[in-house]
Amino acid sequence: MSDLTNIGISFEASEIAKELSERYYFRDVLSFLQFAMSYALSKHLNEIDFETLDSEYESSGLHYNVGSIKKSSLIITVFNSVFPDCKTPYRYIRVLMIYGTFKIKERMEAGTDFWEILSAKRNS
Amino acid sequence: MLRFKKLEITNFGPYQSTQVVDFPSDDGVVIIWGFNGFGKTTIMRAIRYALWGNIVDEHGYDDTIASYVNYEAVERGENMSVVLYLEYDGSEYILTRSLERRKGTPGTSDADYAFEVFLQKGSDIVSPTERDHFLKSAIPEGISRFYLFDGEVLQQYENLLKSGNDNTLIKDSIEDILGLPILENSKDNMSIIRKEYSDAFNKVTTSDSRTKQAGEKIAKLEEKNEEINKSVEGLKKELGKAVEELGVVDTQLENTESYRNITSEIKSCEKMISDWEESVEKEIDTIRDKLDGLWEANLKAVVDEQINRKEKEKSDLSSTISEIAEDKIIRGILSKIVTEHPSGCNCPICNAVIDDNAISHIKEMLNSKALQIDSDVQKRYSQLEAEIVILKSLKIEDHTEILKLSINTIERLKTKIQLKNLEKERWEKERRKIGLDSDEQTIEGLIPKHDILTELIKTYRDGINDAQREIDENKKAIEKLRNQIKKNQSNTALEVAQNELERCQDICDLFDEAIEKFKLDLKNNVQRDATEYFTSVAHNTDYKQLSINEEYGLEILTSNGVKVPHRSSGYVQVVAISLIAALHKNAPISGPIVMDSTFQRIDPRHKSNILSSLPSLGRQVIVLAYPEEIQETVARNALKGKLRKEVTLEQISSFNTIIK
Repeated sequence: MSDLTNIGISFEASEIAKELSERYYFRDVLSFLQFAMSYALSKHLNEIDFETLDSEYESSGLHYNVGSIKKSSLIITVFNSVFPDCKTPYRYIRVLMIYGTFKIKERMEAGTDFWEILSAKRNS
Repeated sequence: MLRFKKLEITNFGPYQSTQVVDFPSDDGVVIIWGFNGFGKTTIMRAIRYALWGNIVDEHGYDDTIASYVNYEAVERGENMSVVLYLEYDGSEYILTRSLERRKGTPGTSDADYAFEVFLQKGSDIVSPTERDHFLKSAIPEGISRFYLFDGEVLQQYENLLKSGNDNTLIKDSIEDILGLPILENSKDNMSIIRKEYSDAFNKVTTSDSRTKQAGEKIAKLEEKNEEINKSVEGLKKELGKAVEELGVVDTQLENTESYRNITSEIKSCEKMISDWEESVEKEIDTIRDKLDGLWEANLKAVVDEQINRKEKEKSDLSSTISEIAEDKIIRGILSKIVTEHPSGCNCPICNAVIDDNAISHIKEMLNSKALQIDSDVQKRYSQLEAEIVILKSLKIEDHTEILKLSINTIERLKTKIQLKNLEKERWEKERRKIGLDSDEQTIEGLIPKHDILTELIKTYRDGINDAQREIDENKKAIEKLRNQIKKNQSNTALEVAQNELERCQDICDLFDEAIEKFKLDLKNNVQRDATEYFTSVAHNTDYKQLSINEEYGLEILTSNGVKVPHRSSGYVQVVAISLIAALHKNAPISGPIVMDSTFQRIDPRHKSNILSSLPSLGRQVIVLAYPEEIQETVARNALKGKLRKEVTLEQISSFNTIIK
């Protein structure tokens, strides 16, 4: 399976990301989605089945060209380290963004304050 | 004595069609009752308009006449008029002022109307000159404030009780009503006569070669003084205008003090809210910056986990590599023993005996396969080492604490903004209660306007003082020159001119002294009568006298002669009414007095006393009041037989009040 050149977020995740990014002072929706990606990567990695979710998540919401995703040496190193055999990193990124967004929303609905989600990085 | 007989108002303000007030011919009081907004003040404005052709607003500024044409009458294309029936010195007059709308105009500005005024004496219309003369002598506009007054005008009298106020305007008006201008005009006429003698003297001096030079100098100096006097007159006029305007501004400032204080509180709240909102924005910017990098900070856990995992794998590989190395060394030692001592020996390490059996066992062991280091293991080990170095070298900044601080700051600021907004709303509610007519911009402009006018007045005064000094210096120089001429005089004509001039000057000086004496007596009379009125209505028995100074400033004195400081606003109003009563008693002109809502700040006991004393204010007193201001029964009891008539204003709609 080839990798993506354009990352399509699901409609539902896009709506959640739009609302939360505005409410919590993110510069833009992409900034929030990148946070959601790192949140999923750091707290929910073991529970993610990338192949399945990639096919399950539709992409009728927001779209980003892969060039607009921030590619620091950190993320490259982490990706190479965590997924040494991954050939489709942008598919993984898409899954992580959507999954992370849903998880953040889930925790907030369970009563966790958003700022607590930000600061309590080592708790799930 | 001027008396109103009837007032006919047509389409003026809230009065539609023609509304009439008949005034009784007997001396006494007429009360016109009406709630606020029904048209009480409009009645006073209509009288003012009839008498002087102008209308002033509540702040004393001239208002446009067209704005008083009844709104619905404008729509219907009807005109406005005011007719005042008067009696003056035994003759009857009808004074009419009307506006006729020009064709094709909307009727909203004065330019849209033709203004007409005429005065009928008996059955004849008098000439414009005679009409103007009648109005100027019967009730001059300059003293209107003593005949038509409301709360605003009364406040100008009240200012006489406050130190530091500029009372020029009211002082001049008081002198006007007391008839002093006649004396001042006579004084001016005396000066003209004195000038004629001076000119005659100059003529004689300049005709003689020995005194010619000095005479010409005198003529020049007198000419110069005349010019300076003219400019002083001009400055005095300007000064009068500025003082009048300052009086209006002062009154407005006083009336709007609470409004301005509250506005200042609101502005202070707005400033704080704006500053805090700005701080919130700054904190939000900080948060945005930090949130941009937060996703990387979140990866720290992942990186740490990866390092741990790789460290463990590396550690496992390291144990294997050590075991192999150890095996190799042991094999080397044993091989050497077997080769060098095939029949046995002592162990080179522990000196234990190694016999044949042991040698055989060692040989067997050496024949077994030695442990080998897999090249993949070594490669993986090196790879792990490199990866761990890279992962450890990653710099991950954690801004969570800064975020927490910023978020706390925002929450705190938002709470403060909320509280401040509530405080602002409270102030705004207070301000709405005051409900001023003027807009905020006008009110804000009052203090700068006050400062400009104060500076202007100072400039005019300085100019007048400088001019006066120059006049005095010139007079001294003239006197000196005249003395020189007197010493050198050698002809009879000069001596005669000199004597006549000196005699005239002596008469002028005497007249000046007489005027000053008259003014002093008049002031004493006003003080006596004001005191008499005041003590008859004031309830505080320790208040024994009103003291009046040169500027007509007033003080309440106790029985010990002590001035009463910080008088209540109610008492200030009683003092103001006492002064008006005394002025009317001493004025050579008398006419109807119209009072609009002047009882607001007076307590019930004083109200009753003042009401009882109203007939002594003047022969015809018209009171415009609202029922809460004066209780109807109190008014009737206080005035008894002197209450000649009661009129009620009834509002049909905002633009239609009828007089009953």
